[in-house]
Amino acid sequence: MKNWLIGIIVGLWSVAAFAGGISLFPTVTEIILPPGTSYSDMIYITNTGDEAVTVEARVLGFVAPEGVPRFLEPQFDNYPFSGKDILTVEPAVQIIEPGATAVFTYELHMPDDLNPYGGRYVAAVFKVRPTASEEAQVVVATQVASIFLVSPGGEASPHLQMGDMRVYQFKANPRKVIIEAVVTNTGNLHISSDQIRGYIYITDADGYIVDEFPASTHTLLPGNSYMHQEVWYAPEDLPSGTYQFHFALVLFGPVGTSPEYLFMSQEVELNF
Amino acid sequence: MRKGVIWLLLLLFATSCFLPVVGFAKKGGAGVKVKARVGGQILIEIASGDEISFEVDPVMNPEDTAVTEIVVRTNAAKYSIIGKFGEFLIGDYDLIEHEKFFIRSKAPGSGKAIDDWIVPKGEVVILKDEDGRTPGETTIVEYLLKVDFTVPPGEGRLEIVYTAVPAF
Repeated sequence: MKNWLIGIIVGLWSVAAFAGGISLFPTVTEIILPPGTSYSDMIYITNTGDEAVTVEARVLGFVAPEGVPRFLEPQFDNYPFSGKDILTVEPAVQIIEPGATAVFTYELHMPDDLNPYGGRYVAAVFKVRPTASEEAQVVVATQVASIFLVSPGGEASPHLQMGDMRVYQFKANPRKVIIEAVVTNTGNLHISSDQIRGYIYITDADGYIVDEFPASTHTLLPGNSYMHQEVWYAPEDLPSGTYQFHFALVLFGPVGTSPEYLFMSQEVELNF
Repeated sequence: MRKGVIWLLLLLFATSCFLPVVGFAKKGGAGVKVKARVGGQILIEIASGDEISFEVDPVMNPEDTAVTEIVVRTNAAKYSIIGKFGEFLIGDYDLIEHEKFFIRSKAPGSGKAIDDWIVPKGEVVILKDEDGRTPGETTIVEYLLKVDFTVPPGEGRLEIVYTAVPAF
């Protein structure tokens, strides 16, 4: 028994790679790159720490259903609008001295034959190679990413869809009301956070507005879908009854196009 | 000899004429338009948590906690932090797969963190939509390791990569 207990001791140590940091410029590049064209520029990585660091550059496609990039390892990257094949970054590895800035050159090349036609989404990811000691079992590393939103122009455009709206009260606090709807970009181009606005209206049984507030929207890539969720706290003096929740989304397009309006309503009985 | 020099001069002339064209083509072709090259900067560093150790055993000390402090400085309006967790293997026993390893996080401000302990599988959003334009603020990630007699003896190995990304 004693041997078993001793044997089962699990010793774990984690070692962070360094006490300093790295900074990145630029953070986001949005570009129109027609098929068959290329664009080249530079990314700057600065070592703000006290020790030299080794930085590894990788190219990863990503999706962003919640507005936060989810990087896709190449072997699992089946996203049809992934830009993993259109970006190259050089060099792959650089040692950066304390306080120094390293320059990585990138090239975007939009192929002639885009299948499917539409935007491409890719990131140049820079990881600090951990300098963990030999006995370290858990290694904490840091990385930064330069995001590319690439449009081929032409027939590429976003298209918004909304469905499955639900409104329900939080069990522990009935005045906390959850408003949900599934929002999808069914187009072939991203919706920038600067192109979309949302609003929630709550009306009573007679159609009078009880409350209203902006809905938080974010960039949505083509083919990405997410459960939009808003929390509304009903005023303390609001009586139980039937109310209607309205969720409005407006997607603005280029000059000459009409904005895309989406509107969903849900009637709900609120009991306080 | 003279012929060779003339050829060399011609070659240099041709190269000097051709280089700007190549440079232009590399920068961008017809129809290329950079709509936004966000001049923002984002910096990430590990402020503490560089020598954390867990000492656990199923009888005397079945669980242990540790903390990593992540500092982000940025002039982006909002930012998020993503954590990527690999396998936490003792031999071929994965502490994450068997739900022995948990994390949660604390936001420095209005961002959405992970309030309750979760098992971190693959990529996890540690902090979402935190207000940016900060000279430096700290997100805390807490780790919890729980062991019982189903965990084999040995040392675990895990790599965690934290990525700071601006809202885009």
